[in-house]
Amino acid sequence: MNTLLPQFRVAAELEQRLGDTQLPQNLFSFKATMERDEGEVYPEQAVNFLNGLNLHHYYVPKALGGRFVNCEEILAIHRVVARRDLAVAITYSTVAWSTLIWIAGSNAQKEKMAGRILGGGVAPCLAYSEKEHGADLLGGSVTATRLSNGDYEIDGEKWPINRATRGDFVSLVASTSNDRGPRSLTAFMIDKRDLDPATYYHLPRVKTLGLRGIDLSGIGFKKTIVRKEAVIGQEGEGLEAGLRGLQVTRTFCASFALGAGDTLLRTVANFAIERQLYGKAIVELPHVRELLANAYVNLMAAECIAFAAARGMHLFTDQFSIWSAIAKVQAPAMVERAGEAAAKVLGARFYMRDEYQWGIFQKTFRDNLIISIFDGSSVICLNSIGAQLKQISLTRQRGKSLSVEQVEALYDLRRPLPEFQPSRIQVYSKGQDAVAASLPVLLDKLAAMSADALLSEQRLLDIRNAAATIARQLADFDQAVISYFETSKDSSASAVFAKAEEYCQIHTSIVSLGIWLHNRTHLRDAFANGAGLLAILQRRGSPVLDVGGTDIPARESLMQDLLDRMQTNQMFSIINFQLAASGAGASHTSIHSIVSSNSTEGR
Amino acid sequence: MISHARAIAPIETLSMHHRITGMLSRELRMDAANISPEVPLTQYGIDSIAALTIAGELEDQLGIELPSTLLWDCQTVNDLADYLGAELSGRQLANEVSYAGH
Repeated sequence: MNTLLPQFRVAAELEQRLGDTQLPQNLFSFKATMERDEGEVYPEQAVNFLNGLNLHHYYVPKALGGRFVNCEEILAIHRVVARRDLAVAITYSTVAWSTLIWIAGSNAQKEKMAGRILGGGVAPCLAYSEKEHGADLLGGSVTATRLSNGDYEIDGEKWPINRATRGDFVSLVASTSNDRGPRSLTAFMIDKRDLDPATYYHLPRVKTLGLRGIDLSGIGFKKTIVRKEAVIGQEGEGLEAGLRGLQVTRTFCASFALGAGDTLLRTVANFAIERQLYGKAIVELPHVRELLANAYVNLMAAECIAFAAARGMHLFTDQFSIWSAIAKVQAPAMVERAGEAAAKVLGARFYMRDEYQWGIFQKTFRDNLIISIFDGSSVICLNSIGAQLKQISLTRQRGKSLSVEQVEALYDLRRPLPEFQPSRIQVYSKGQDAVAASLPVLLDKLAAMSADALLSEQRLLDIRNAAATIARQLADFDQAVISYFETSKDSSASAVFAKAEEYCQIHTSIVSLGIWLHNRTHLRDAFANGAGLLAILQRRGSPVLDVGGTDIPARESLMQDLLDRMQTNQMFSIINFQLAASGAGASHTSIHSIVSSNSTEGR
Repeated sequence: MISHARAIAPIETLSMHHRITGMLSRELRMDAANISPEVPLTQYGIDSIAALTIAGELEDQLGIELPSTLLWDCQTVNDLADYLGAELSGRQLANEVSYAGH
């Protein structure tokens, strides 16, 4: 028990390398983060520091000379950086857009991209959006005209683009046909070094609410010649490439939310312990305990979503059109609602930019809001989920549930994962959803469980009842979806958005149950008692905090666990994840020097 | 992107046309007689949901795995019948015709 699982070891080591967040001279301390934010400074030094640790190697597949093997590992790495400074995490993570090449690139493109990243820590930016067209990719104005020699001439502007000015590559989607159909777009991975500098330009940095130092800018093309070797896949496959790439990055977004959530809750929990009012620390006040315990439940739910998604990417790669959208909607929503609850505890200091812990709470709160906006906003993701619901509900009614072995592989964090094969990502999941299909096996496992020293009879009974409610909810859901589409074809109606939201919540309940059932005996005692799971199930996976509705023993159990996490300096997580010790300085040593999970064997 | 061959035996294509038109007629709630094999399906109001449903039903009925972008590439009943006929006949698609730019 309590041994750190191999997939989290690199992130744990990275956490130590970055040093104590409270030590001002550390580049990743809260003070340094706030100085970057207040000064609206691009985090160049921090990005270089991460490259110095060889973090960029974790974005390149092992087969191409890098160290990327495991999606759980990359999520854990993002989480560690995100808890210190989301602006750095979100800047750095654009390296992940190389995923388009791993998914659909030629061998030559793969080798070039791998070589450029490994050689110099270079990064692409994702140039999809346009000022007048937003997420309407097929409506875009940037054109790519094929010339007689097969090369392309690009015209138009992409905006707003993270790292557009400082990025070394541009991952571009442009129209190669006027018909606006699904085959009218072509994707390019353009190395800026290959362009004539006189034919492209950068747009000024945009002033933003959060992530104040980031390079959110744009790029414009004026008859820019791009070689045919830059095309990803074939002409006409741009929408396909774009949608497939988003499935990877949307899933990664959950880890940014988890990192932010840790800082939001940690800062406020510290405040509640230190703050004396009415003759005692405010952490003793029942309402404060209720808010903190519920915020903690939200973080647990977000983590279960992220863990299952990271594993699912290896196991059910072709189902990620729906799964990535759910993770992208639900994990940030969980953290946003947790942040709102935590802000109430912080009171007036929430509104002050440099009070309490250098003002890290308000910055993280602001920064975190971007997660449900970029890479396809929650509205876009819900629309995408809604468009697939009919097929999903119909398929489930005639489909089979997963086998016990498949369910164990998905949820048991100790189980080795098969190699992640990005080329297996499909534009649509064809109605398959492994999470919902795992529920019958989970209910059987729950029915066969007995109470033990850590799990009371009453808690087990409550969990069983709550899980049965979720099963009924899913059956009712399918019936309602099928009925709706029998009489309507309108998938953009508000009613469909509401159903898509409910589906995200059902997903949350099921993954939380799955993770708990398969890991409760080997993680922490506080996880084994099921208090957090019960709260998630009783809330039916909703991110909205049900303050006043948590039963007192469950709340107190959660609070005790939360305070233990604070005292022992651990991440808010179902696993034990040690944070950098008080007073620890940063270290420049490469993270390669440690034993990593860079093997799917021997786990 | 998928490719297809046009060299299909007429009888296979005819029966495939029939199946596809029947499916579209149910999905779109319109008379099969009014569905022309040459008209792009989008003109009958095929949206992304209908496209997914049709592709899923075809997979179930025919017992073959189809690309998730089937209706992006096969935009008419004729296109679909040709592609599916070729898939079912298991023929080597010697003279592939890419749909790029169609």
